Amino acid sequence: MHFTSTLKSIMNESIYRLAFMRSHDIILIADCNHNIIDANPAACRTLGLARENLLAMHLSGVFSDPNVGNRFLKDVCKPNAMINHMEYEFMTESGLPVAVLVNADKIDDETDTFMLVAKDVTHYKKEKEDHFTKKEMVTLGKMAQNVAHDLKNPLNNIFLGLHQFRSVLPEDNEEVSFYINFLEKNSRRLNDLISHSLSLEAILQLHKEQHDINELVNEAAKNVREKIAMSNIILNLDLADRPIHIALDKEKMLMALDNLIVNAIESIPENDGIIYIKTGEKKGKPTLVISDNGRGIPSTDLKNIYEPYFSTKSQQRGLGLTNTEQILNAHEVEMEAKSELGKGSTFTLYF
Amino acid sequence: MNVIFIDDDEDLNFLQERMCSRCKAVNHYYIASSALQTLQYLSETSVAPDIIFVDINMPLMNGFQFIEEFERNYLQKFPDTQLYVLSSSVRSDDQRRSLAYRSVKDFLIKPLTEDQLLGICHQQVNSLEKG
Repeated sequence: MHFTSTLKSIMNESIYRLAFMRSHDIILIADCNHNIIDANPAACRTLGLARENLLAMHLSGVFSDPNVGNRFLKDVCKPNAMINHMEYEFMTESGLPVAVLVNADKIDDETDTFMLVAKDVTHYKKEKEDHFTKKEMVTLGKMAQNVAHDLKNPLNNIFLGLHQFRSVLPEDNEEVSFYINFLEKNSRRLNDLISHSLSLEAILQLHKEQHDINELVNEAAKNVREKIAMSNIILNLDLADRPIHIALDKEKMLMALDNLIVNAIESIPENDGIIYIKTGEKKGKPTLVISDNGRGIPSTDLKNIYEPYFSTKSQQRGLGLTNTEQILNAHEVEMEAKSELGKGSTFTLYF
Repeated sequence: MNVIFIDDDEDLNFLQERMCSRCKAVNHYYIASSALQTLQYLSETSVAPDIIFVDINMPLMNGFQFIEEFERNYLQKFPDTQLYVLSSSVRSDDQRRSLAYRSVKDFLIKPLTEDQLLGICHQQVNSLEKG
């Protein structure tokens, strides 16, 4: 009897040990004297530290800001303390921030020991932030375009009215010509002001610098490498021999390319997907072509693909192509979309 | 030339009506303040319009919906009619979408001046003579 319960307790313990070892979340056992008593493999992996190095550290040292770490320790060491789902930022050995959601509980009052479980939410957080940035950009862009449109309508009437007025006035009257010219000049100024200040380029606040499109494609390919690996898709790059330098906002243009590649990935239903990216020249303009052998877009939907919240993919939010279109528009890059149902889609960018 | 203007901006319609009345190349015109009103007119008239200028952003039925309706139901009745999108839109997507319709000849940015109207009328005369 006694023997079986001991065996059970050993077995139980080994199961707990296994849970500790195999957890995808960071688990640290620490005490209120700043010591890290134990760390699981996920902790070592995420923070990029060997176990013995981690155990030699102060607990506050895993936090990006050690002051925040000290405050955390103070909180968790209060009597009856419980830290539930709090957001913190840890830092890896190489200095990269890791966004984490932390749960922490005392496990032994006598030794002031507690357990800290942290979930790495960096990726999730970035996706969420990207979505909000995208949403903000799309909304702002749309708003600016609508305001520009609404302001231009009455302005056009003034302009056209003046134009017609001029034709019925005596041509040789100097004073009349002066005032008509004056009014026309100022309507034009107002028109230019609206065009410039409410243009997508101004709204999206582009910071243009010379960049090589080939390098941009390589970087975009790197950004989506995890998604590509997960989906069993081959990404084929066919880049021009010579660099193609264009003045563009690198961050925004990368966002546009990411959107297009992700769009291609998501259009490929199963295996055997191929995404082909080619840079070169067409019609005397530098071009970038992204094609896939995915589902394709029905021709009736093709005209709607740039509309916000339009998506042929049920789980998607439908902002990707709107966002891409606005970024490209702001750069005065023309995009041509061709698609055949069941065969795939091709997007060509003319720089 | 028989010309139709479709726009929901009454001030613009006033100016365009004046322009049509003065333009020598225009001998018949119809100024409509909505797409639906134009469709009603098209169903009743026996005079084929040569040119239709249509705005994009209009309530109830926008310019694109009008073009689609025109191509569906009136292209056979009026095969030589040319459509022009006349807009103050700054969206290049609007331009691309407009030019994708087979009945749309061009995408024009407002305002359309009398000289431009005259030019378009001459162009239409030429293409009708050739056709």
